[in-house]
Amino acid sequence: MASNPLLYHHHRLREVSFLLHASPSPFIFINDPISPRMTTQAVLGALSSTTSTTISMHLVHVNAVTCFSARLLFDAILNGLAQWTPSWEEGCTNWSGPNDTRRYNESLDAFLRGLKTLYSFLHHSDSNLPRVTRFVIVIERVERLKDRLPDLIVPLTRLAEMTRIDVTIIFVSSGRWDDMRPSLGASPDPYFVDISIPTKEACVAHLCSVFQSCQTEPNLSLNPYHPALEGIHASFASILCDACFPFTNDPDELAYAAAARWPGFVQPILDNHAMERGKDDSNLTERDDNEHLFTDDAMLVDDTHDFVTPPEEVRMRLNRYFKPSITAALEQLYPRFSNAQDWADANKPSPEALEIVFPVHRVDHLSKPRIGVTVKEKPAEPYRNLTRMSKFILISSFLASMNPAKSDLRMFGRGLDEKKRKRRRITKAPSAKIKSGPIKIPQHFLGPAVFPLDRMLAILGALLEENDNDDNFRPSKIDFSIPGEYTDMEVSRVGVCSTIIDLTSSRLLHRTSPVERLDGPPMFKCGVSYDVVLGLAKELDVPLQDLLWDSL
Amino acid sequence: MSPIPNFEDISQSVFLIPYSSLDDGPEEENETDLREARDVLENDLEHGDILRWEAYQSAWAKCLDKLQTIIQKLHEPVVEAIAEEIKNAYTETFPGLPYPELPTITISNPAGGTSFLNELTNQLDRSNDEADPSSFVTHLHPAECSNIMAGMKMLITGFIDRPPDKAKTQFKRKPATSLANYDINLLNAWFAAVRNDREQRNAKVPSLVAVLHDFEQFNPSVMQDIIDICSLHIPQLPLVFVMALSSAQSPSYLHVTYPRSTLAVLRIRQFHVPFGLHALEEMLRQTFFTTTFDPDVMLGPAALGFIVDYYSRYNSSLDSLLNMFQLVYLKHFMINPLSPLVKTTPAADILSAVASYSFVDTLFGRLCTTKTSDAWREKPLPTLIIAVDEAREVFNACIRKSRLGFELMIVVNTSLASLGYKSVEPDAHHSTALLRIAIDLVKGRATKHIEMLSSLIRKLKFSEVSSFLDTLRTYYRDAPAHIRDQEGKHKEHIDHFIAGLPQEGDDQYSEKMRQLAIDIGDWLLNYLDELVQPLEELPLWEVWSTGQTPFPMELMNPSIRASTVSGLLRSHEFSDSAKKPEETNLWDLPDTGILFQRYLDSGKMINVYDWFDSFQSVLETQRRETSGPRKGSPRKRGKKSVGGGNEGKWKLQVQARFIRALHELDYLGFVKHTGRKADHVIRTVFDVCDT
Amino acid sequence: MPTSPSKRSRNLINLVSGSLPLQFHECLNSQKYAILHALRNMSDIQLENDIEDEDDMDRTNTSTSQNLDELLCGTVERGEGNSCLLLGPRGTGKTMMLERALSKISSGDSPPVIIRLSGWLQQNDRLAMREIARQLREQTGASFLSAEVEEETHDRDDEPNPFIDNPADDPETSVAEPSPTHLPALIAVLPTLSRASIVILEGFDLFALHARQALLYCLLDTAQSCRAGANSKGLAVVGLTTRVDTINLLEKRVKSRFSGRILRVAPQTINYWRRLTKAILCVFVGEDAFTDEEDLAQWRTTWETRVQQFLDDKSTLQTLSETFSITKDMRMLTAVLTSTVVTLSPEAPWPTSSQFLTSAEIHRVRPLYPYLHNLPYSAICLLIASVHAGTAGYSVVTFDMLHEYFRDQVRSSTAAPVQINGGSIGMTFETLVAAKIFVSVTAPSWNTAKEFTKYICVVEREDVKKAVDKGGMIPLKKWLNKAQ
Repeated sequence: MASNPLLYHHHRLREVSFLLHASPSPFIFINDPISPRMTTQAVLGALSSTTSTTISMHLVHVNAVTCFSARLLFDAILNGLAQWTPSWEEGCTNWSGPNDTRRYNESLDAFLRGLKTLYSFLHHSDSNLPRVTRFVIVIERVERLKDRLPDLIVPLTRLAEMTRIDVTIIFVSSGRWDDMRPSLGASPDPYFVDISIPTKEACVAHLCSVFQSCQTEPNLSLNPYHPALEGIHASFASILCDACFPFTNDPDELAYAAAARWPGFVQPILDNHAMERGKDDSNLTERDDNEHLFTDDAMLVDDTHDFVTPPEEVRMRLNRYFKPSITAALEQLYPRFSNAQDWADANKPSPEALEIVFPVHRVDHLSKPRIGVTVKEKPAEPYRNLTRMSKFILISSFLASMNPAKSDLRMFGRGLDEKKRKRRRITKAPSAKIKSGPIKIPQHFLGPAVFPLDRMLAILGALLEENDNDDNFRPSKIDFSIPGEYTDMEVSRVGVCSTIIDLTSSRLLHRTSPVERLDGPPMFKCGVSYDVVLGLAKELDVPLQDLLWDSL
Repeated sequence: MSPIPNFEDISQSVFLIPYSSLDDGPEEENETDLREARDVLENDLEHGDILRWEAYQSAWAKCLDKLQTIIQKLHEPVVEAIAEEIKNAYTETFPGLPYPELPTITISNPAGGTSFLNELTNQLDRSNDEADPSSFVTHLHPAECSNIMAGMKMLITGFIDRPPDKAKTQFKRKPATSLANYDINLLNAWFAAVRNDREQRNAKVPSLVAVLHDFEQFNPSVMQDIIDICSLHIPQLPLVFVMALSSAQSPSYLHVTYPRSTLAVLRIRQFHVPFGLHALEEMLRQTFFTTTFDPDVMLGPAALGFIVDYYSRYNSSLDSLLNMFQLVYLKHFMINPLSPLVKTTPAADILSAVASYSFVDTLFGRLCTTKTSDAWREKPLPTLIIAVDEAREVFNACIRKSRLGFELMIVVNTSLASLGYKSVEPDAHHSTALLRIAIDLVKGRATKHIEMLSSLIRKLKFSEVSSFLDTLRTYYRDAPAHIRDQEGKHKEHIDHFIAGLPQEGDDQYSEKMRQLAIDIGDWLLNYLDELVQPLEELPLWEVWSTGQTPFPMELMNPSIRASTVSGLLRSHEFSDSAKKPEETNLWDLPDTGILFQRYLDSGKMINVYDWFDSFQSVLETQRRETSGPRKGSPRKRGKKSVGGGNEGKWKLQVQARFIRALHELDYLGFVKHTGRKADHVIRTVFDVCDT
Repeated sequence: MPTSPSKRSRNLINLVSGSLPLQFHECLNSQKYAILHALRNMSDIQLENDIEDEDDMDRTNTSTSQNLDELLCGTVERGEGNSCLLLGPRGTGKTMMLERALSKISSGDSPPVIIRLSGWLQQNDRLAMREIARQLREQTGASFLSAEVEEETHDRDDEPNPFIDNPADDPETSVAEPSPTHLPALIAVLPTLSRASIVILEGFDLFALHARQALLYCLLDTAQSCRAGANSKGLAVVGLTTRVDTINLLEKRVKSRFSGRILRVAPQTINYWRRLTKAILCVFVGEDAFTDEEDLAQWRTTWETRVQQFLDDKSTLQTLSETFSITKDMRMLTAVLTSTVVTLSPEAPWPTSSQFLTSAEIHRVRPLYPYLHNLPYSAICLLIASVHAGTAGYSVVTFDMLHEYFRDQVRSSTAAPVQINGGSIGMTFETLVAAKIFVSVTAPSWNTAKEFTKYICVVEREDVKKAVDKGGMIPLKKWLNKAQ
């Protein structure tokens, strides 16, 4: 999948690979804030592509996330350098030296010893001409080492001097070296390589390279990834980058969005082409799921010889028609609310797209050009599954989380006289001048606060009494003399407790106090956002805004 | 069942503490009910309890079976869809992606219960032929994944435990010098073996499915890493994650909780298990309100109402729904002496038994009122039996009719709704038309719906009439045979209406049309009225319908504090039911009860000394009363030992009992210790309604 | 690029204003190779001593190395027990010097047993002992620790302790270690060996942190007490450290065993740097198959003149001295020179002072976030929002806060060129967090939603301002300026 990476931020990497083929500094740190993944691919590609006569380079690439324990790291490095793949039949044994079956993953010393053994082994094995044997260890996402294997950082950075062999270690990270540098200057400063943030041109180039990498055979029938379409794709890539750059310039994300939008984008072209060639509608419809078409070699009809790249104004119309849908795509895809494939399927261009892009095909019946492609909406009423009681519980837990405890009496207290609840008048955020030191941050910025269960139950009781008393299933009021007694009974029922537990287990409520603690009430915290609660309140017509101490 | 349930397990929402005659505590209601199920009701048959028990079992078995099949039918499509998705998770390729995505399936199953996942697993296994399963499935549970090492270990060993190839050979690993068993490369090696084996026999390479149960319980920081690691090894490891979510939010729990960097490596497909009111509707409709199935006992309005309300208000899980149905049945057969008659009428000899005299007597009382003929005088028992059988027939016939009526109403209602009419106004609680109509039907208040429907039909637009008629006709065409030939004449009605449809060109088209619509409306009105009969008028109706008997709510949803308090206040009603509450006086209560009474009398803060004094005074009276020559059950807790004992021991004992009682209240959470004031405690419970 | 034969004349030396003719590419390449190679092993570079250069630093170092040599050979030849401390700031060539001495000694008739320990590897005495034992075994062939200790293959692997997530102390990486009681016995072995032994302690100060400094005590004690001339062989303990106060770290009993001989290694002078630079840059390119003599000759002359120009350039000198004043670490010079040389290409074949400066800036004091202004629009928005939060006096920010600021801005000014929904901003936020621009101040908790975790923004208001100015979006500037 890693499309030829050298197209993107290549000159820096040329330096790196040159350095590694000359005599490198033992410790190199590559910092790429945007897409370290790409960079790693690029480095590896650059190193494996160029071969040198004088140096036999042994390259290993490990990922600090995968190697979450020292042992895994050691195994990965040694096996990788020795190009040893453990096989199931041999019981998945690690590389264990030329002759002896020593264990190299048990401790740092053992690892270094293993490294030396391996080095001498390889050095003697490829001894046709006096070559330099060089180890290169690329570690991706090193920032994870800091919290996982902190005491390995220093030895890794000093690997060369500790083993006294020709080894270079390359850290690739989105973070900075200063953020993970050990104290007391324990490890030497690396040779820094900073990858600059990709420019628009670089991204366009990258997209094109992706297109080429998944191009299909030219003799296949016309399909979205047909070489003949490269020109159109280039323009598409540029408008895509224009649309997306305010949001992200991560080449991977751009490629993702492109993958989702491109098949729809070229659809009119393909249809047009099909029509030109007098295909009947059956074929046309069959082309609708064109992105899968090229995989089957069933129809190897060479119908592309007469394909001509459409003129400029057609492209203009294409771009105008699809531009709005590109940002829409990003809105959906960047947070992964939907995945590229589903989005592409859901947003096939409507047939009238063809008519708009190619007015030739406009059928006589007047079809007013609707704008763009509509993003398919997600099914509404997300919290439909909640029972009525759990909705009330969520609302009251939100209130308990957001309101200061001392305000409860004022908000929910009901004397005999129905006095209006008074909210705190809205105060402007205090300015820094007056007070010195940090200012108390309003609760709705800090998110829900912790509350004891009892308090929430009390609020729940108040809510139920106010908003749930029209219930025709209530037993006759005779046996409940005191007002509010019924609800008092309600909130202490098993149903409520088990509902709370269910909500907790589905993480709509967060229990902050340990389960095993017995003394004191259990502490909880609201787990849903303001918008959700607002929706629920509307549904149960609870006047949420009046119940909030600080209006949001 | 296990003697001590694990109360710390927060995934459990309810614990059953089975009754054993040794322990007695405040929560005894369920146990008492069960006991009175054993003992014989008044005017019961001989061995009535046994007969009722058998009747109950057959009836409930029938109903339960039906319900479960319905549930399965509800789940089936989703299960199949998911299985399909898993099957070609790696076959369909989407070009142009920057890197392969890890196929992820989220199943939101708020109805709870593991039944769905079991069905899914079975489905996956079924789709596999034994030789080469098309997917290897492993299961992960939150408890096993407390940290990444344990998590990876579970995931990997879950797969590699089965041998990779036909030659069922497991290779012995020397743990020290080979890959760690939490190393993804181990899985790689194993799967390489699998792949080779399959490709040699050119069989399909299987996919690796990991089912994550209660996904919300997994620690996200751990899962993030696991997902990252796995995503780095696809597609050479065809992993598929199936995440079982207990809530259906949108954006899903994944999107809310996990960082984008994690989401970016997943290809999430979301599936929803049918749940909520829809599920309830289906189960009710297909069990109690259909012409295709006859439950032995019909739900009465009270039960139905409660079930609907409880389902929508407290607990919308299918398990609890089943429980409720079962409880309704149980109760019906528990309290109703006539319930043995549900399916069969007992033979004459049983009826003639002495013990069942009162039972027969009540039957006479119920049936003779209707008609008094000679038959009754000559040979009463056979006649009685016949009469009972008749009554059963009548009731069944009648209830079938009203079920048919219900179906019709629903059909009409839906077709009207599709035409855009709002026939049944929704209300806040159970907002579906079907449920409303169902409840009113069993209440015998269906007429208002009927009238509304007919009036709507009378006002139908001309264009809509024919389509409406078509729906009716199709309904009849698809109805089961016995309906069709039984309701033949109405079918003819409809055909006649259709035939009567005037032509467009017709000069008094509109009048005819309007007239036709009005006719249809009237016909429907009469027809439904005739179909839907209130059941309460029928003889012995309460045998086959639970009627107005309230739902045993305390079993489903007891109020903890209330029952605790009442346990403390009126402990006798739990222990020996012989005693009437009014003749128990304070000193009769157990110590904790006494102390609690005093507690209620005190203010917000309780001075422990005063409390002790008051307690002591009560004990004094108790001592006097009991030590005196007085009949009546000897009080418990070995008070006779103190009878006339010396004062010192008595004082000690009082103190001891006080402390003990105090601690009990403390455990129950009635007092709160605050250092604020010396030897004072704070009340936690106020205004207990003690009446 | 085309090169007509006509160009291949003598005077092509001074043509090279623009890019390099084809036939010289190889020369350039090999030149770069040579230089980089020289940079790696500086130790064997001969500087031509020009007379006027009289720096005492150089002299101290030479004397130090002489002392070291004497000390070592005293141990090796006369069987003395010695101990000394090589003290000097980072990158002054302590290790280099020691290695030189060792190689000298080892090349002698009786090569000593050399045991290398490093404070960063052997973090406690047990590890150190294992390492000593192993190195002894490797060099003498005999085993010195009881068998069960060196037997290292335990099958601990199948029960990773589920309660320990930090793999540093997960069972199967920690190994059965010798009990400290073996320590004196093991050390006592050293003088009894057939050859003299030299123990090298890198990061000497770290060893002082071990429990009761047992290892140091044993080593120094044995060293002190081994009698010259007795049948026992010599033992030298050489510590390397950068900490000046290392001696004070030693416990009294340890200090009393230590000979107190501290050999200082001084950093080089700026002159030395200059000379070194020149020497390295003008390193001699070996004969090469691809190029003919004449080209090579031309190349060399040209190159040397160019380098001379480069070195005489005022700004070059300035950069050099600045760098020198920041750190006297030789590795810094190496790094700077490396990046200068690596960037040379046929298009720009000659070292220039500007290039030198930029590479110095990369490696010297690194700018915090050089790429700030290139961040996408939404990221900049977040930064501005955080500035606003700062001026509002909030010590920490949550994403929710920033998002609200942003929403207000969008609402108030229609000028915001792009409307972004929370989603994508939030996601951009994550990239900023990943790049450590926003640093979380609370431990990540499962119970706080993503948008409510507290962060501080490490980017200063000034940097944001610069970034915005560079980005040159007017509405953003306006928005930023609202925060006063």
